[in-house]
Amino acid sequence: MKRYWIARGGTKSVEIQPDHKALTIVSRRTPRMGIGDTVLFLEGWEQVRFTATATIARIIPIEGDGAEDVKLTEVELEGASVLPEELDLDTMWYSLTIVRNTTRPHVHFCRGYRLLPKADFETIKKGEPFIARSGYFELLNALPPSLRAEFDAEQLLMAAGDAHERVRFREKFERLHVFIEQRVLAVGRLLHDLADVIVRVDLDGGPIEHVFASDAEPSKDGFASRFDDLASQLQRFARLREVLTEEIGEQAVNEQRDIIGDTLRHIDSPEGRSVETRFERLFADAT
Amino acid sequence: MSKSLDLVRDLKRAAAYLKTAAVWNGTGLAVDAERDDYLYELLCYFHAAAAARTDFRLRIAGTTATTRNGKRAAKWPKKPGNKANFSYISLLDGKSGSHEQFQLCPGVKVTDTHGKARAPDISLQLAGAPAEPTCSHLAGIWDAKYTASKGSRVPDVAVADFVYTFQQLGRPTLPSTWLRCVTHKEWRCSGVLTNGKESTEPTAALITSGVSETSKYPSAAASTRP
Repeated sequence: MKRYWIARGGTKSVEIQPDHKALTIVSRRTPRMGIGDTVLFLEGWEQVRFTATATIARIIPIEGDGAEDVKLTEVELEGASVLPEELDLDTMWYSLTIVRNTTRPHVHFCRGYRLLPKADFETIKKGEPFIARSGYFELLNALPPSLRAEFDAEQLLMAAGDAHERVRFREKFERLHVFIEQRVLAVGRLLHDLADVIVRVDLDGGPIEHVFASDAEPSKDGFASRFDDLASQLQRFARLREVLTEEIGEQAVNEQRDIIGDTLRHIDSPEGRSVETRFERLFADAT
Repeated sequence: MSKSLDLVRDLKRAAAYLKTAAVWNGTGLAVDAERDDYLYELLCYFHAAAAARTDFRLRIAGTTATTRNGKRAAKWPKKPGNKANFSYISLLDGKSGSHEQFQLCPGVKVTDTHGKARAPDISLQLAGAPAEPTCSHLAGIWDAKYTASKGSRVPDVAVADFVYTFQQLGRPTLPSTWLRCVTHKEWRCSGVLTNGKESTEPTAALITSGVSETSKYPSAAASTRP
């Protein structure tokens, strides 16, 4: 049966020859690749990308070369076809069923080559990501551990109510959005309102900053107790807000975007829904 | 370029900024609207200051801090603390700009009639109140109750809890020097403020207890009982 492989260039075990015409593999055992299998190339240093596909034409073990216990194999390829550009690994990885380690997805792509399920190959070939799962894990991993733990606990409680039904990633993504709104973005709004009213109060005695601290305990290490300051945190939230509501192009000067809202609308659109349905089914089968 | 890839890329970028904003800049603790309820308390506190602004001169007093870039900073408590460790706003005579009239304090401890320390979220203390104030230095107190979901009511127990604190602190009364100047209803009577909806306590119960309750605060829809 025809199989699919990822080959990652620049690793200890794989070297990709120019124009994707061949692979040189250094390994303990002879690679279990077969003629007719498809190879998907993963290349680049700063930005790792899926670049091209090719079919295996010949597999040539190279005898007597290299150190002991190491086999050198030359894999000749044909029919190389370049994928659409900008198919970044880190944009695509949460759309792949092989990515089970959702906090460290890169671990699935460290090796020089690995097998890839057909469905994952098709996902990459189409360049169509699983938006709900990608958005869910991107945002979840951005939360500090304590908040993440609370969200997970809330989900467990809710899952008890959901009975046997598997919760779709679209639902998980939306629940996470509500959680982030209430627990994190609400702090941004409070800080914003606080800074506003402070300006209105117009304190005497020149400009002054504002910091939040816990009761000063006698410090053990000689340093003053640490505090958080209003202005810096406000700035952090202002930048986040900017990214979340970036204006669309030049034509819409006052039209504010809402990335998360846009994402949900896209998922629920007819074209979005068919893509997401395929993924929901795929991941339900994979677990 | 497909739109869905763009969306994932945008979400990824947003996540990177979320990661920074979700952690406090100094302590590195997680940001959490539910745990950081002092932010709502301070928001109400500064609204009280704004209400007093018309007739008093306001100046930061008490303990201040110095930020990393060497600027002077007012220091506000995250949890009930000792007055000596934090800032407060000194309300000075509006005309002369001197002569303290009141001290508007954040969540600091005040000793009650039985010697127990209690910490109302906001306290209006009399001029010259010491670093370890007792209930005899109080003019008024307020509690601020934040709810993450705006639709929720402030629980009756929060009101009952406040009423008890109010009693133990000797039911301070706002002096005429304050009532003459401050017209905002929510600051004319000690009480509970919430960003959520009102409690199910009957208005008559609030009147009997001598406290007020302000809901949906601060917003255009805010209302104060009784």
